Amino acid sequence: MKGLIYKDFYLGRKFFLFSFLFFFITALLFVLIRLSMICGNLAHGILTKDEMDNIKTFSLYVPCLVLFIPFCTDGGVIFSDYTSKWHRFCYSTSLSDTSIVSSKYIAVLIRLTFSFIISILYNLLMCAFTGDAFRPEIIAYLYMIFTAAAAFSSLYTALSFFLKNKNSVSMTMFAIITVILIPFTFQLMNKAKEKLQNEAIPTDNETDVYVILAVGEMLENVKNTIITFSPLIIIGFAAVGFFASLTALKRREN
Amino acid sequence: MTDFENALEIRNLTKNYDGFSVDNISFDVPKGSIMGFIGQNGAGKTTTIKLILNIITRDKGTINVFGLDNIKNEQEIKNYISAVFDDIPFHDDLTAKHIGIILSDIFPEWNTATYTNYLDRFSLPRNKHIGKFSKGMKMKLQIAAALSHNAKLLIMDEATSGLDPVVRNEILDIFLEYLQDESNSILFSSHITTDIEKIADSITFIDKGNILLSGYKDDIVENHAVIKCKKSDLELIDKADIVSSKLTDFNAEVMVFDKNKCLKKYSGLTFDNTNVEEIMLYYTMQRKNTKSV
Repeated sequence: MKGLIYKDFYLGRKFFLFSFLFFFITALLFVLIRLSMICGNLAHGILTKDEMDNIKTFSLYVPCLVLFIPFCTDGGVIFSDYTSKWHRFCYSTSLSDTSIVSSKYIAVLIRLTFSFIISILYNLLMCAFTGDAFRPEIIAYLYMIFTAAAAFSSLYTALSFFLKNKNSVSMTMFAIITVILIPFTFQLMNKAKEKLQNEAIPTDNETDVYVILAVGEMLENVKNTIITFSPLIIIGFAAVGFFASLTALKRREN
Repeated sequence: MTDFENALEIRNLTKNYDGFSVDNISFDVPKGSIMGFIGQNGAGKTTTIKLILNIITRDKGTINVFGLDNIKNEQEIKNYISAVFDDIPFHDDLTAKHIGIILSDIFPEWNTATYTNYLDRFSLPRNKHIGKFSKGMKMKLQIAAALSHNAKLLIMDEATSGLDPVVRNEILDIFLEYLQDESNSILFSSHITTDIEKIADSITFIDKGNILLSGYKDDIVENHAVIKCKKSDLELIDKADIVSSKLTDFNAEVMVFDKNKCLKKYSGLTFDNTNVEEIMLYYTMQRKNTKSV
């Protein structure tokens, strides 16, 4: 199995390096923004306290999301296994279907753990750089992202085994995410509308600040739900994805 | 693995698809021999090989490799099988070095020194991407990998197709070397009959999913002959002795399958020796029923 994991990481190396570079650039951008908030143009009262707090929060999470999202996928390795007929070679060896699928899921775990560690390191560095105290709730948010990423990766891996085609998997994942996001978006809009109806809008504030506050509230609720059920979500999605992947493999070339 | 007489035993193997079947085929590959598995494109060679390797599941029949059922003992026997396909199944982005690293983890009896020796012998670069190899280099890499984990049965699926004569000859010599160890066996599927003629001990001829011939190559070739005669002499030949025939305006060429009997029976006619390719052609003609008597 080590050989299979090595193969997958080697084949996906360009994709992962590029994704890491993208994370690095995003992180650097936010570092510059934070610098500006400390001693640059943004430090001169252009932003309200709420806006500055939101930017501080986003600077901690957005680069982490940028890192997690591509690392949820394997860089298209499962597809290239089928196009190169590597899967046929595997069937001709003593490799069991369980080993083949396990190697993919172990690779998922390695990628997500790496992303989690890098995210924490990034947050620590950002706090050290800006002089802010390290907020423990950051770990909670990163854990939420890790859980969602694990669920997404399991789904992605299983779909890759079934559909064997990058475009089909991308379209299916897009459809699934859209189906999940539609009610989420409606709920968000209702929440924002509620806030606007219930609270008096100060004359010097933009309405969209309330939308941002509504987003923050909703994310907090989502975070709490995900964290509460995190082990169940991770194990559930991984188990379903694993067995679905095994089923797809057992269908062979019949 | 228990002692076994045949490296591969296939009995009543059947696989049905829409419009094509591998239908009730049986043959053996004796230990220490090369079986040439010949047939036209689409005859069922690759399907049979996939059934042996359990890449597709059979509908009926049994397949025993080294005396063990190929499904019940799949992991055990596959440690000692190497399959070489016509299309290299390695990613273009990998190198020969990576293949060695990956396969050393997959095969319990992987021998890095043997693999390295084959790479040197075939002059294959370690660090060049496989996508940049020529077809001959890719095939040599597959063979180097196939011969580096103490496999007892090599299954070659059109391994020499598309290669130039020099490379083909080199590969065939490697196979003969491999068989110096009498516990090794090869199932070599090809439609290039000259390769089969050169190295096979026995041949099995498949056409449209049915086995038409199976046995020792020399016996098969010896037992068949082509009678060249006038069209009018055709009536002298018993139809029961004929495989099939080719007719021109004045002459006929008739393949018979019991040469010794026919030599005595049709002593006035001219007999020519034949070869594997001709046998394949005449049997195919028999199946197509074109210009048959």
